[in-house]
Amino acid sequence: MKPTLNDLGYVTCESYGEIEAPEDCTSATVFRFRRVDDAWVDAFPDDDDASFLDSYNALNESWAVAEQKASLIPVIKSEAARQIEALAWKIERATEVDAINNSNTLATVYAERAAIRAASNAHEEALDDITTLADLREFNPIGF
Amino acid sequence: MSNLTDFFGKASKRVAGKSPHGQPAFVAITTGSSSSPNMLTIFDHALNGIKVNKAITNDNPNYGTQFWQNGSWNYTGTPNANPAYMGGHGVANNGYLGNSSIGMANSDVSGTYNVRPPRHNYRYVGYSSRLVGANIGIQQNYAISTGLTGSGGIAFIRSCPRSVSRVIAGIANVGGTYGSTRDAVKVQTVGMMTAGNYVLMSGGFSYNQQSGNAVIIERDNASNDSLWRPVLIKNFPDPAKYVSDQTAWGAAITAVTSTASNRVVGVGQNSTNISSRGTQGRNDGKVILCDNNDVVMMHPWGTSGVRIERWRWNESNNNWDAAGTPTTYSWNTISFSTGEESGVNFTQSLDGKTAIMMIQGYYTSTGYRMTMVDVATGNVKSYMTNDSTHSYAFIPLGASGFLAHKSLNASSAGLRVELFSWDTMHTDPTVDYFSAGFQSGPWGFYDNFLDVGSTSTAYPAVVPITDVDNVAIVLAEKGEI
Repeated sequence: MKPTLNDLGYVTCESYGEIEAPEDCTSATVFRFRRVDDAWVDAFPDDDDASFLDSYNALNESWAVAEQKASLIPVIKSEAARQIEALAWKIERATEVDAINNSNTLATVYAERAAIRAASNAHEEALDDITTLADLREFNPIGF
Repeated sequence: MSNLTDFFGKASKRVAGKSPHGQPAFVAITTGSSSSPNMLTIFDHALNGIKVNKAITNDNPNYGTQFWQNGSWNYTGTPNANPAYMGGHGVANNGYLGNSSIGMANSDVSGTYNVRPPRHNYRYVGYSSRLVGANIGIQQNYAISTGLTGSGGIAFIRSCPRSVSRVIAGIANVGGTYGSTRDAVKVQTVGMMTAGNYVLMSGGFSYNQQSGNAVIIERDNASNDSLWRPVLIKNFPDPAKYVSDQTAWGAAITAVTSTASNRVVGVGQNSTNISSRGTQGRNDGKVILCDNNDVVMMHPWGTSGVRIERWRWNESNNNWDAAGTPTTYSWNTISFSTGEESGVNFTQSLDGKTAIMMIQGYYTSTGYRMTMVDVATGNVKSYMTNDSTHSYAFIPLGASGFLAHKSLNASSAGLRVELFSWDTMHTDPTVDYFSAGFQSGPWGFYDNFLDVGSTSTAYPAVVPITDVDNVAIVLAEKGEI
């Protein structure tokens, strides 16, 4: 049995890897091991074979949350860019109005854009605070 | 006489086709990035690439990414992170009904530039794998719905077109209420299910086109630990002839069951550790009725496993022998514990001679447990892979084969697939491997076999295409057209 490892050295699949698993491993118990410094170590020394999967599952969820959060940040930024770009016509109009009337309506539009950036940043912070997949599923990356 | 009479009786007259294997077999979906869009790559039943297309038609690939994440799958990330009620892009989502997530336009995802692939309402697609029955044979242009678990006069079946929406219609608050529930056959009313407080297994119906018999799986609803048992209905009215008329189907079934010899009640499943069967195991499962009346059943076990049971038909007794020792495999949490999630799925080869029952092995969509059934003999081969990161799919290819897919990183390596059939698995295709239990997956999923339109993806998905002339493909492989 040659398990697949992730970047942290944990087992993510019982097979399709390159390194032979520790002796006496089964398809189930191989998930308690981790590869560190070219050697197998018990990744869950405080857990027995019956309970280590709870710890493994929690760890796995944290990886998935981190992975998804990273993929959602560009979506938030793209939505912010779209909203900012959508105000281009207002800037053009305000620029012309201000030139004619010697006014400063452009500042109002710029304030709208600043608000979008602030909302985008706040949305990224809200995303960063999420720790569970359940909460992540409720998070709309373009909902700001 | 045609050597296909075992399929058709008197062989159908067909004109020569141009290219039966040129029909689409599956689509590979590969994710985009900031520099390249999500791509679709379509392959035919000869494994030739047909077309490469953008999956999302918009100016910003990130919106495409967002669609997948909020809509149905997140295949830009680890598949086990998929929404719980979906079944992700693994075996639970890719079955006889095609891909549960892609089928019709219905989206709750906003986005100015999005032109999205059609798909089903995300809340309910998981139901489809649990609800679909197994209509075993070469006529594959229809499906059977069993409804959600129903007891007594509520339990129903429906013969319907082959789509997720038609299969899930009629369950609570989905697709209508009164109209859709009347658009069904109540299995107790028509004499299939035992009278009284009995419950029909959700997914517990199979019709065998070769024998013309059907089976339902029922149990006494008075106890959580009552045993599932098969009920055979001989001379069962062909569901394909009643797709648009459930009332007539029900009447025809009633006429059949009114003859006592047409209905055979089997013995219960093996009772070993039955108190550990769990909530989902006493509600859902899947069953295959073989040509010789053997019955093979898969259902969830506890919160982390599946169990395979089989009843061998004894012709001399006109009943099944006692269910043999079941094979059970448990490993880690599987998300089949709440109402909208997927369950045991099924698919079959285009010639209807090999059936597969399957479910994910970890949470919503990664890993797998699958059981192949030789429909002619009732022989069984079962395989599994424990995997917390990658999804798998098994898709009919050609007349008798399947394509196995693992969602490994496709960057510069193409799509990781392998081809297999009943005859290519294990060492002897004539041997039954039921008692061997679930064997660790035999496929290597090596690199550079099939190319894909985009090579930047980490977790590609494949989607079976179901609307094909499977009969033409079967005929073509026998030189008939």
